[in-house]
Amino acid sequence: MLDIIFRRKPVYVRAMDNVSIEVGKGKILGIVGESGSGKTTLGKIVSTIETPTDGKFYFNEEEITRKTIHNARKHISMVFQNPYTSVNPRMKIKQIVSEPLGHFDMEKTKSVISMVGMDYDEIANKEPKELSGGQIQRIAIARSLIKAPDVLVLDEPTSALDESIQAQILDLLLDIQKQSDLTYLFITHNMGVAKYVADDIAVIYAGKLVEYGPVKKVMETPKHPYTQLLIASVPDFEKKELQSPIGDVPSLINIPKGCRFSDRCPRVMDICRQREPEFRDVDGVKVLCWLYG
Amino acid sequence: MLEIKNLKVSYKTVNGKTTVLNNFELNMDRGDSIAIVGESGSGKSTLGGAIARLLPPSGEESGEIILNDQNLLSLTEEQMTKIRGTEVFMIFQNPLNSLNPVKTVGFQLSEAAQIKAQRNGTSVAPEEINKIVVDALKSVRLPDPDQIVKRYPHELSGGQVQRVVIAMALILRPKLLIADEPTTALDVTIQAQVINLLKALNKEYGMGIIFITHDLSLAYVISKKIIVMYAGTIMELNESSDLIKHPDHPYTIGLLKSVPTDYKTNTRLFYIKGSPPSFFNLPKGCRYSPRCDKAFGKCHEFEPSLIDVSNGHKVRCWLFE
Ligand SMILES: Nc1ncnc2c1ncn2[C@@H]1O[C@H](COP(=O)(O)OP(=O)(O)OP(=O)(O)O)[C@@H](O)[C@H]1O
Ligand code: SF4
Ligand SMILES: [Mg+2]
Repeated sequence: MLDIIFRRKPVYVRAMDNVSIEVGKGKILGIVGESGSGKTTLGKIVSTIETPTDGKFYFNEEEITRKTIHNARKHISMVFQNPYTSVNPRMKIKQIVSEPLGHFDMEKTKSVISMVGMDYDEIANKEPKELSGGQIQRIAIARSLIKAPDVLVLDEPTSALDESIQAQILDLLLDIQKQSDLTYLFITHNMGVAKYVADDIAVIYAGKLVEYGPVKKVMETPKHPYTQLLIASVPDFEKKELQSPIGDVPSLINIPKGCRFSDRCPRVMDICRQREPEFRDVDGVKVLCWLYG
Repeated sequence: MLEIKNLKVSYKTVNGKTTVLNNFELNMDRGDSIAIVGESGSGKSTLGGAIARLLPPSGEESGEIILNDQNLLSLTEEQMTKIRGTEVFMIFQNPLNSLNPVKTVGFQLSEAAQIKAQRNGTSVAPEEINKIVVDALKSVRLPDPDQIVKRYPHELSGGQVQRVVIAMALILRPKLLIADEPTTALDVTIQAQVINLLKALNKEYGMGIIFITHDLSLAYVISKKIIVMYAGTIMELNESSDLIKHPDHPYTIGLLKSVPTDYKTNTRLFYIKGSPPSFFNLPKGCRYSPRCDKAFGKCHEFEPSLIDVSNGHKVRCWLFE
């Protein structure tokens, strides 16, 4: 789906279609889109859990192959959406946290548990069922930090949590990111969360990046009709009415010809149904849409 | 239209009986839409299940639930079956609970269309039933309705099952719809379509809606009124816009402040310290007092009642006595 390139500094995620996404070290890229858009797949490719079906993946300017994947894994880890299913329910907390190391290291385990604001002595020997959803998500974060990664891929890390717990976890993640100068790929369907955490936003639709730019520009003056409708369909306290594009996200096996959004786009033109648009730079934002030539 | 008096709901558990709702009161006018919000475990689903009389077997309820002059709690199960669907219909948080696993989607929706016609005292031809079913599936934006009707619930994704159940609600068009987190499994653009559909039903046919969600902005968008629940009690009740713009209860204020709405700065998001109490061990006095930043003397001694602060605005907090 995507060509992805990581470099020490800055880190790159490059999508197909000749657009390169540059995530400077210590920055947060928010990836938004609906389910089936390929957000999670992108996250898994970046965390080397999956290999791309087409396109290439680079890390430190080195193509990731079976031989080099080991190297990338040392620097990238992932946090999943559901705190309860992402940890082994029969393991003790200290084992869960140290597992990625392949052996138990008390020093390191203690240090990451304190980074997520918990007390090692109190929870080390507990099992996940003795913790709340928010506490388990902290443990999952601690676990992702144990190998001191440079890049953290966070796939909907707060969407299973109540809002007041979400607020704590978001600020915790921002603190850790600042302290250790980490780079985040933050996948979310929640526009409010994306707006709060991200420096840059990438909007994906049906497996393709459609808009990419600084968070303020994308949120305040979205260019792509899909981004515009996505923002208009998300409930917030500013509007009492929701708008949404008609129809459903296409399945990746049944993608419309031309622009992938053409069958749902309110501003569709003839050319949109015939040829795929290319990325254009509009006011510092990259947009994949024929409206911009 | 709906009047709940003195409702008590308990569950039997291995550790004994827990009472989740006690002395619960609620009034709802015809054509009203009320959203129920609150943290996980606050009793939102319990309230919904109690009204529809669809609590799990371990649940027990007593009191009065008067829906259109009929006390639902005095009806036999047989009488209840006769009104379920068209008087009151519940969309469960887990959508599979709303469907029969061994019948096809088409069969269940056709059955709903027949029930609706029967109870209206009309008859419908089979072709017409098919059209009603397909139209309902189209309004919830399910692609290929002709294929979907042949499937069994387990052959659909969570989001699809939820939309089938919403289609069933569209066909039955109940007087009171209880929707428990009906859009959580849906994508935001589909969620927006479903929300707009429910709002249209409320407006055009006066269908009463009780919408359960933990998403405050969704509650604001869909409903005329919002009820904030905490540990089984109503903490605040007001018109949606007023509740969001001028929250009074410390808990409502805390919940609203914890929703991220802006870009990050050097300040932090607000969050409510601690966690909700267990029903086995409710704090003395106000249930929110251990977490409340405004708590004072009597908050720790006596539980406040739901105080009328102005027309239609109620707050359970000693600050408003
Ligand atoms: N079948 C059951 N047996 C025993 N206790 C139950 C049962 N269902 C719910 N409870 C308890 O009743 C309380 C209220 O639960 P309820 O499911 O109504 O909350 P909720 O507000 O719907 O939460 P959520 O947002 O997680 O759906 C909780 O303490 C819960 O543990
Ligand atoms: S009654 Fe007291 S403890 Fe309860 S919410 Fe009001 S101020 Fe806080
Ligand atoms: Mg519930």
